[in-house]
Amino acid sequence: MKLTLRINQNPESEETQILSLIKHKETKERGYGLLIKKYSQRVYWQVRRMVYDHDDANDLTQDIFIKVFENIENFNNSSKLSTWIYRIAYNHTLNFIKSKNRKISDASCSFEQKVLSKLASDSLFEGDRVEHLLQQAILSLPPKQRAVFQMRYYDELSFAQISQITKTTQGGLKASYHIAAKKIEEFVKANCNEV
Amino acid sequence: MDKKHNPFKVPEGYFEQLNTKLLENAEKKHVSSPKLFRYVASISAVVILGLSVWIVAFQNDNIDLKQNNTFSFLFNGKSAQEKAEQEALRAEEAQWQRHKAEMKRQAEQIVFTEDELQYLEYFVEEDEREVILTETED
Repeated sequence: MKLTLRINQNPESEETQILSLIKHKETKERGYGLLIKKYSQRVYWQVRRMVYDHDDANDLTQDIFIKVFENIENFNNSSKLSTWIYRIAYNHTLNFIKSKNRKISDASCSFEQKVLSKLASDSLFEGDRVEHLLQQAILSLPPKQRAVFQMRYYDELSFAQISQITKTTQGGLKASYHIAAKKIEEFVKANCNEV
Repeated sequence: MDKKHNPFKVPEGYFEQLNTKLLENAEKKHVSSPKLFRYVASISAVVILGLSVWIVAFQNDNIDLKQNNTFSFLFNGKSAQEKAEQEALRAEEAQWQRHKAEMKRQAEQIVFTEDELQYLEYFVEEDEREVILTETED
């Protein structure tokens, strides 16, 4: 049986059609291809901004998509497909950071400290000193708060979307974002003489 | 992402390679982690159970043996002594029995002459008279 589906530009119908393609054996591969094309970069950047290192982000992105492929047939449309994928990415990345910090016994050399020490010499980081200072400020935030800030500031997701991804109330997210922005501002002001 | 300056870069052609790699992963037949975990957990449970039963059974045997050896050292020590004594007694008894048998054999081989028999009879009668006399005096 040959299935011919027209992919609409509407994101929601696009998601529905991707899911339909994946559910049918003949079009599964095509569905996977479209899913990867649509979400791979977004997931990569979400992860990269959390872990900073390209190799870590690469490995984590692959792990995340393996999880997506394993569980997509059980996806029950309780949320949007994009939200569901970003939630997997968010949780998986947080678990990665937690496990890294657990392995590091010395508190003065946390995962964030290690990332920061490598950042200046990282060939895949092309920020000037101001950018370096900003990233340093963002790294000083706790992982969850950092994720919220990144999703709001860089990805420009709405608080409603972030709420669905992080399973946190919108009020809590707004407060968290506000505090994060304030911390970053204070950090940059305190250290701007170094720039 | 495009509106804000992104200081992070990726190697050239990275996303094309990533998409290819992800598609390869999608095509591979994955045993889902929960299923795999269930299989591994079931097999591990069976192995652990079998091992536990074997260890307990083996340990019990060892304990029994050990107990026997430990306590028997205390008890067997005494019984060994008793056994030795008993063995010695038996040996002595056996020796006495052999001696008696020998004596009896020798006695059976004794042949008294007529005069010797009469002499012996006299002494037996003498003993009898003495007993009778003693009794009548009382």
